[in-house]
Amino acid sequence: MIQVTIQLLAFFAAAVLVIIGIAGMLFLDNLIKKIIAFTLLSDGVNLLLVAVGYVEGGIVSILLPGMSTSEFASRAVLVFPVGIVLTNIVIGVSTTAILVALAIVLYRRYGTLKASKVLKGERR
Amino acid sequence: MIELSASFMVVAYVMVIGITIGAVAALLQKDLLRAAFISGAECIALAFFFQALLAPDIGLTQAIVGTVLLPGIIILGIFKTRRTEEE
Repeated sequence: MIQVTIQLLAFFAAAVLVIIGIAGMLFLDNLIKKIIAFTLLSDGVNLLLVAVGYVEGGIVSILLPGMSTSEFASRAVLVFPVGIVLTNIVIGVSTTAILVALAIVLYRRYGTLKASKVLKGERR
Repeated sequence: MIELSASFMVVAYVMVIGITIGAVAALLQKDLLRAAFISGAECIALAFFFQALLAPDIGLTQAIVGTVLLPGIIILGIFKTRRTEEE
């Protein structure tokens, strides 16, 4: 019997988000729906990275007064995945903005948001 | 030191269910505006999960970015194109 911890639940949620995101990007036909599925996929990857850095029974990585450095280093959660994910959230917003702009350009050109009609290439 | 891990387990269970239902429900909507709002609600559940994983700074960033900025950008795109999904 596997003991259920927060880390295991986080891995499960990250797997669910990545599977739903990839399935949505592959099988949905609307371009805006594809962009929403892309943000779900990005959230899943962020959650996986944070869950890897979790320490069971740890503390938040803030050096409180009266705490020695070795005690902090042995108990705090890892700070490197937090830095990566903080960067990735901001980059994900700008990527989504560019994707929405490209979807608007495609709508003006083809008059539809369906990816199957856009791929056929019938100009309006 | 206050023991917080038991209450964080409850938060984690609820938020796993919330993330799963929110992600599926956001992609099943015909109305794209409703899908954008539901994806914002799912990001709130994700922010609580980050809080339970002892990363409160990511929780704050995810709460603001995922609830205001991402649905805002998608709603701007919807208003420039069309609101409902065509058949």
